[in-house]
Amino acid sequence: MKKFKYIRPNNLKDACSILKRENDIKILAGGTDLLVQIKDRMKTPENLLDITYLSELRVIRNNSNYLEIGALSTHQDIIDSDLVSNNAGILQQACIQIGSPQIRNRGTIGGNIINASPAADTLPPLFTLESELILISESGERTVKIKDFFQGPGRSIIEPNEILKSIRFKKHSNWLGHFKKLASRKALAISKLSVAGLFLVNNGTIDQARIAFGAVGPTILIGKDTVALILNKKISSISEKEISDAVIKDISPISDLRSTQEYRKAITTILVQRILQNLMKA
Amino acid sequence: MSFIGKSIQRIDAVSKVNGSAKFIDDYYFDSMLYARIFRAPVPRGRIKNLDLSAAEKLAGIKGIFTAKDIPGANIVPVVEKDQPLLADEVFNFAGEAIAIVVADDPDIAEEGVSLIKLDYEELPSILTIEDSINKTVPDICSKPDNIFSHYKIRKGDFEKGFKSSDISFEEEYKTGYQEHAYLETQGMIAVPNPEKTITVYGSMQCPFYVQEGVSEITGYPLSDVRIIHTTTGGAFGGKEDVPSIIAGFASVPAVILNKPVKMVFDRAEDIMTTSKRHPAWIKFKTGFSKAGKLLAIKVEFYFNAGAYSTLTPIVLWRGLVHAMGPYACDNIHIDAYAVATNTVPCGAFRGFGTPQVIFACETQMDIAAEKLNLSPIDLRQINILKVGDSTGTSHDLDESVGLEKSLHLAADGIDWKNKFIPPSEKTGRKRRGVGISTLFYGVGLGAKGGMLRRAGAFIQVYRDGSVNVAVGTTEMGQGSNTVFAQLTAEALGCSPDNVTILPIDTSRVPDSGPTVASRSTVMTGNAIRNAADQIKHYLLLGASELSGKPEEAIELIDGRVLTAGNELKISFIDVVEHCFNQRYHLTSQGWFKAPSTSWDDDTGLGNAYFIYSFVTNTAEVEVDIETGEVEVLNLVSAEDFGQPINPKMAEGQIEGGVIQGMGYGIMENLYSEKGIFINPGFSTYLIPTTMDVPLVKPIIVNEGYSKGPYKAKGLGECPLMGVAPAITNAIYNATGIRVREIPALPELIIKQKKE
Ligand SMILES: Cc1cc2nc3c(=O)[nH]c(=O)nc-3n(C[C@H](O)[C@H](O)[C@H](O)COP(=O)(O)OP(=O)(O)OC[C@H]3O[C@@H](n4cnc5c(N)ncnc54)[C@H](O)[C@@H]3O)c2cc1C
Repeated sequence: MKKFKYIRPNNLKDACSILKRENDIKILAGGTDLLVQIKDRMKTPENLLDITYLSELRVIRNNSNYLEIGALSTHQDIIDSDLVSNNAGILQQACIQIGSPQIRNRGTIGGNIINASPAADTLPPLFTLESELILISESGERTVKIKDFFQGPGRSIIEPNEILKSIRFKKHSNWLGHFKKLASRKALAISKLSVAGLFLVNNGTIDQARIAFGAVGPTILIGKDTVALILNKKISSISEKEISDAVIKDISPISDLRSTQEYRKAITTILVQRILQNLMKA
Repeated sequence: MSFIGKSIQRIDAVSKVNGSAKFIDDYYFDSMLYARIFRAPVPRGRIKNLDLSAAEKLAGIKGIFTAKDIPGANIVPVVEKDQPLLADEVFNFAGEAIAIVVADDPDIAEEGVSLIKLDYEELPSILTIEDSINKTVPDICSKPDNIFSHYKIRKGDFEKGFKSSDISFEEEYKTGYQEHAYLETQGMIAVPNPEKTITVYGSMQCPFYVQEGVSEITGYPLSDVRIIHTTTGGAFGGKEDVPSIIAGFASVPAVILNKPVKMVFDRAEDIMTTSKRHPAWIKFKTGFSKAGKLLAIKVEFYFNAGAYSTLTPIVLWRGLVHAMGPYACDNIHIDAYAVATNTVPCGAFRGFGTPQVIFACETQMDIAAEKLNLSPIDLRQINILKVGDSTGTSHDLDESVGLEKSLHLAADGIDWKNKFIPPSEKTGRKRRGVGISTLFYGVGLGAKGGMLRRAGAFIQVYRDGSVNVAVGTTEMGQGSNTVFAQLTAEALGCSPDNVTILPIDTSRVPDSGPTVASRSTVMTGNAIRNAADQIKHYLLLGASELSGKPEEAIELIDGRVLTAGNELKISFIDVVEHCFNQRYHLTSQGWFKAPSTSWDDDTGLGNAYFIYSFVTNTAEVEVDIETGEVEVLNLVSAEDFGQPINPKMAEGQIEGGVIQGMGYGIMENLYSEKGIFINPGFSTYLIPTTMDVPLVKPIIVNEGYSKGPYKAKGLGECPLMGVAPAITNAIYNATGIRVREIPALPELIIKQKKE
């Protein structure tokens, strides 16, 4: 491990000015991604800015018809939040499947987003919630739609001097959400593939639908064709073959050490089917 | 018996739980330096130039050492002496060590490694068993035809056997690498002494191997090389031969710089460059009569040995001896080959070459049962070894064969009668099934173990009744020290609380061979008894003198002195005190030579091991037929390892081993790209976590062995070996999908389903 300077800011403003001042600096939140990368010499920053004590970033609050989640909220904070369970249960479904108790107590939603892994589990739900990310720097705040945020594995449009302050999305209290993840073991395993689906269903017909896929492309992928297929249809009228055709158009999986392209294609379809079956039961 | 079969608490339980146990990385010696290794970047190449200049200039670097700096011989002595400690001129696998960088601090040493520039010519390499057999590149190892070893069995007439068979069939099987995944990585500290001797501390299974290795590397005589075993955090075979290499990396700079040097591997380095379970390719043909009698077996199998032979010859031999399974069969024809590739040298791993062949053999039995319209239990009942039968290598078994008992206990343990339903009758998304496997396993080093088949022990009783025991086989987490304390207490008549098992020190006990092959309880156990008997002689004499009762009438049990079941007023301590006053010798050396074995290389027949342990595994799984995901619900393991010395610890061994076997069967997978492992960490090389652990039911089947200490045999490796086929057979029973390759990942199951 390369040595680094450890900096702890007093407040958010302080953090922003340090970020502007220092070159080669990385933000440290829970460290469950970053410290692993530093240990493996995949990242070798000169400076680490530890923001974990900035409690203003660890809030989950109502903001008129939005829910706002501070970037430092841990996965466990999200699991424990009634606000989230009433308005975005799908996000909890993802958080509860992350890592292990230790990782969920330490890892933050902000870190999960900025690390920008295509397999990050909170991302497909955040896509279906049409989340917006609030970024802050010395020069002020800006808001970005999550679908415009990612550029590839590990890459996003965040600037080196910016901090992710919070995530916000509209409350989705009447929506039915399902997140399904497949991994090689029951805990401490990165997704081979994941599917999030958020729906408004009326009498067995899908009025609104949003679908997002994890780990089957360079970033999270939106299920455009799949949504187009199922929208305004009776769930029972959609055939397996149709779903499979649409899903395969939506995703672009590769083979890597977590799974094969073939398997990912086949099983993503199955997970979508299962989600639709669950909707029928509801 | 007062301590045999008693589940006393492990003597190291508290120190392991509260963290006070000291592992090698917890040790520090004054002015100690740290070593890191510069390694080969590709599978095979010729070194043209090694530029150390930038690294040498780095502040804090204390020295960089290559092959030419080694004071003794540049070899890692195992079976053959074909592996250098540091590659000289050519390197033969990616990750092979080329230089040792030593610095004040491990990070500086690491930095130094990154500054070394290697100019090399890449040579053509072989990465797979198939290419090695086809000799796509000739002569990549020290032996002809890229074959390190070939062993065979020729028994009866297999062609005739197949001709007289009513059914016969051949299948091909593949098994993958397995990483030991011990919690503590490899580590050693070499400390030079003023009088030009060296002491090496570290994590290991076989101090006497390390002693020989350090002696070769330093050129010091064995008498000047002292190895001290430190608390070892798991080994599973991975610390059999490899620690000699780590000790070499620490010792070379230690003797040259005359400073203590610590060499502790990081996890990625440990996974990428140290030994693994051999991947295998197996062709297996079996023939049966209509009634289900095994009439002929023909096997041809290949192990991927990697770049150097290390322990491969004996791993292969053990695989050969067990390849036909625990069945009586008159016509057997087996060829076993270990082929060289330019990959990491494979070596010892719990089971030592048998889990691979057991997977093939037990899948064959499952397929055969279906073809013969017999239940897998009945087919085994017809063929398994019983007392009076002869093993595949013609070893007539005259005692201690608990296989039949274990077969029925394991079947009942999983409720086979009610749960074994043919796959065709199963519907729905999640399907359950049960599977079974049976196995036998030779205890100890066997006929190919040569002069290593002996062990020593040293016992000293102090004036206050406390007892020190020095042994030559190591505690690495399996609990052997607790077993040794129980055996000592039983034999001397004291309490195990008064017994201290000393850290192993090669200056204290004679070479006792390696701690492998499930041999410690029998070998060291018998050596302890031998030592204790010598002391016991004086204790009984002393007790008789003190009490006035005849020696034959006196019993010493748990610190008490009894005659005819009545406790006398004198205690063990009084007796010891008396013996001291009489100047009786309460110190002794024990020695045990293994019972005899035999072997004929031309026929592959003989009494390969002195005794065998026996296991039946049953498994119940639930398979998601759409995704191929397997959830193991229940694992039962009924094991005959003779008299259990400490049943609770034995159950712990079984539980751990069974889970390790489950990982081997359905989870653990090392991926390599161009001969380099790309998932050398626990976030990518996935072993089961507690969340994946099913209900495990250990069943102890006690068929005593007359020559074992208090009738014990060996247990250590048994639990792992047959779990994979029990699970894959259960997958078949659940789904009708036949898996011929492990790990049986969901991807493979789905692929197989489509075919
Ligand atoms: C054993 C293990 C298991 C895991 N299992 C899972 C899993 O199942 N699913 C999953 O999705 N992930 C998993 N992870 C990955 C990781 O835990 C999550 O991605 C976690 O949410 C990261 O959060 P963190 O706070 O630890 O991030 P850190 O490691 O602190 O930071 C990650 C990155 O984000 C940047 N960053 C962090 N916060 C901010 C901010 N507010 N503003 C700007 N940049 C920021 C950092 O600079 C860094 O580049 C696992 C990790 C481990 C070690």
